[in-house]
Parts: sequence; C-alpha cells; structure tokens
Amino acid sequence: MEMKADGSMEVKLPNSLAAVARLHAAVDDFCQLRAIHPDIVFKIDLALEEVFTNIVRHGYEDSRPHEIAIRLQSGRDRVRITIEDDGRHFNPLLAQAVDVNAALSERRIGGLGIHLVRRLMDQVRYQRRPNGNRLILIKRLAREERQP
Amino acid sequence: MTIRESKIDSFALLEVSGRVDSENAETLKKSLVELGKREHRVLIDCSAMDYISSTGLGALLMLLKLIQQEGGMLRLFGLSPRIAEVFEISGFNKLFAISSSLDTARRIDP
Repeated sequence: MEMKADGSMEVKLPNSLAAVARLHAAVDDFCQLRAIHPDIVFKIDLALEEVFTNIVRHGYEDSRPHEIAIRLQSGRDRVRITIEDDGRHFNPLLAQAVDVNAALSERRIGGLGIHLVRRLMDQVRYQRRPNGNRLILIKRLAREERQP
Repeated sequence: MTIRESKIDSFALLEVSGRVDSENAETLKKSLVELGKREHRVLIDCSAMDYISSTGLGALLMLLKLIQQEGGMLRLFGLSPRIAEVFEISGFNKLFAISSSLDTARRIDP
C-alpha cells in the first residue's frame, strides 16, 4: 500500500480471493484518514470487492500470478477508484443486466456483482488498455458525508 | 464471519454475524446446503451481519431454492439498513420473507 504525494493511495494485489481482506483493509484505511462516512465506505467496499472478485474469477486464462492495481483518490465531493488489470478484455458495462424482478425460479445464482457496482456507484467508466482493462468508479459524497 | 445454529420452537435458527465476503462465502454456502438438506423451517438472524457481497447473497438464494423445493419456509430477520439496501438493489427483498425481529419472524406461520 502506497500513499502518493497527491493524497491518493495505491495498492497492488495478487489475483487471489485471499487478497479480499487486504482490499477491504486498504479501503478502510483510506476512508478513515479522510473521515468518509461509514455508509459510503460500505458501498465502496462492496463495489470494489465485486470488481476485484470478477477479475480474479473470470479475468485470466492462464494460471500465472497477476497483479491488480487499485488507486483511491478523494476530492472535496467525490471518491474516485481506478482498477487496472492485465486480464482479458472485458467491459462490464456491456454485460447483460440482471432482472431483479424475476421470479425465484428464474433467478440465477451469481451475476449480481456488476449490477451492484452500477447501482452503488454514481459513475462507472471502462477503458480498454492494450494489455488489459481500466475501470473507474466514482462515488459522490453528499454534503454530510464529506470530509470536514 | 461466524455461523451459529440453534433451535427455537419448530425452527432451525441460524445466526450469521460479521462480514460475509468472497473469501468466506464458500464456508457459508457449505453450511447452508447442509442445513437445507435436513431442515425445512429456517430462520436466519442477520442482526449482527455487518456486510454481505454477491457471493453471500448467492449462497442465501441457493438455500431459499432448496427449501422451497421441499415446501419449507425460510425467513430472515434483523437486517441493518445497509444490508437491507443491498437486498433491495438486488431484488432479494421480493424473493425473501423478511421480518424486523425474531419475535415477529417466529410468529408468522405460512
């Protein structure tokens, strides 16, 4: 975990579900330093875990270790999270939407992650990179949720 | 995450507390499958659950399908506002029977 001069924080994690605890610890440390409201921390934690586990589970076709880089930045009224991986190209914004009104028999187990990310964040942007993907999540902070 | 099981009236009562994330949801899934095979009247206490991600939601959905196939009943109670919001966004509030407390959950008998 590295704190940059501009106040952003970067953490590089292995493509393993065992790194989820470290991911949450990084988010919690970052948000605590900036006194970000616990309701917002919860949403960032959840959205980021969904993105991270999607990459770990579906992003790689080989069994070599890979690195997933996460950068957290906060401004006066927003938190911006950038996730970069070197996995196969995948734009989650083009994934088929989950039908949250479907009956129990029609509901699939799984497939909810991207839906949660889109609903919990205010903006999700995808950028295709030559050797992987970059996903940018923006969470706006309401007045009472901003750092003092 | 901690999972504790007990009995209350004719129900199996499962308390799932702490954080349910992708790292430990597999443990929850195993417990729920095992429970779903032998118990068909289940209450899940979520009052000490701090966090749940989609893998944990998937485990709960699996248990619901299992229990409904057997004609049983599953009811959750004590969801914090944050967890309740995740259920709402996921549409799970329409699939699951949800009560505010153990007292109300055990009184409803479908």
